[in-house]
Amino acid sequence: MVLSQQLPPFGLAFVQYVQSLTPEQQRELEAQRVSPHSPGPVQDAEVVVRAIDQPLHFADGEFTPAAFTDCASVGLSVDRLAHCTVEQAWRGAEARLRAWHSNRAAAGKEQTQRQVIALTAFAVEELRAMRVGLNSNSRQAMGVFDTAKVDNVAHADVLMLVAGKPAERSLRRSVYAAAKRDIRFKPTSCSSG
Amino acid sequence: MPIDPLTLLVLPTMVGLLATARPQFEHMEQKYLPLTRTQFIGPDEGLMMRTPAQTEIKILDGAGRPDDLLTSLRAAIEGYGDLQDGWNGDDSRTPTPAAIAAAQAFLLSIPPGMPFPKPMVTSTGATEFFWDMHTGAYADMSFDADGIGSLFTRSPKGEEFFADGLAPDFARLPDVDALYTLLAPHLMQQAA
Repeated sequence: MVLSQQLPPFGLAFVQYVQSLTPEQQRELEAQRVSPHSPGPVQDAEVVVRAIDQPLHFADGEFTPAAFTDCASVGLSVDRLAHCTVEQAWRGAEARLRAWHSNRAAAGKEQTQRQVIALTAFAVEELRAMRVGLNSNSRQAMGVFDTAKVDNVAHADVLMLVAGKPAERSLRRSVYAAAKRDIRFKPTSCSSG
Repeated sequence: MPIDPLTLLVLPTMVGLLATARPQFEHMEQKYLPLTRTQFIGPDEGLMMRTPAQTEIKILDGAGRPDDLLTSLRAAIEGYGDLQDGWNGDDSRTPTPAAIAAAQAFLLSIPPGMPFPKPMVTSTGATEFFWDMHTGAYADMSFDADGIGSLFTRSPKGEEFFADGLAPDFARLPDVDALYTLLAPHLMQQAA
């Protein structure tokens, strides 16, 4: 049994920890609350959205696969639509970006031109159905964990359950292919403020 | 109206040949391996020089190159070098000069007639290219901090291939014929 209280901090350490577990332990962990702020484990029937705020992650009006590299490293931050609206997810992403710009300015660092450009939606069931391996040796390759934050209970992380370059590249393409099917640009109901 | 004996002999033969004709590059699809049988290529193997077939040389010499697109791609890659650590979040890293140089060299090595890829940069500092074809074929090429390349491809049938330890030279990529089949089948058809 994996104990949630033993978990490392979310981000790179959490991804490495999860990848060190057996498939059975990973499934157990996905079915648990991994954050004290979590409204509950992420269910297969849920939909999560990802905000893309880096202009360099677009080419000819579409995402690049590089936008989803975080799945293999620090985890891909998403918002659960079971616990927020699309507009809240959009405004939350903009607020985090404003804070990021402020911190960069305070530290005297270069300001890159980040702005929330688009959202994409994923069916959790589809992410968890992505596999590596063949036939009877195949296994679940992507996990969705309820990494809720004190200021964003809808927060979750999509991450690769297996390590290694070949799997990373294969899964990144799969996530990219799923993402580009449901790209949503700025909702008209959202202001930039 | 009577049909002459020559037509009677030639026509069925021609119909038979047309019905069983297959593109000469078709057999190359079998070279793509499922991911679990990934072909890891060590530095020595990956850097091994491969001599292109005469047919490839013939068609590549005749094709043109859109110089303005090449210029804009080179500028995009160069721009990645201006990023600072933290450019895409606290953990994000800047591409190294070696990664930028390798990407530029790879770009220049792409033969005329081959579609240009789109450039991209990752938070981990990798400088990359990708092809996402309307046929469903996909390929990406990544250069790490040391300028070492790795290639991932996926055919429309879902067959995947990965190789690491590669030099930034398109002609020296492993199984480059299969890459032509995937990304520029028109070149293979012309060659055939």
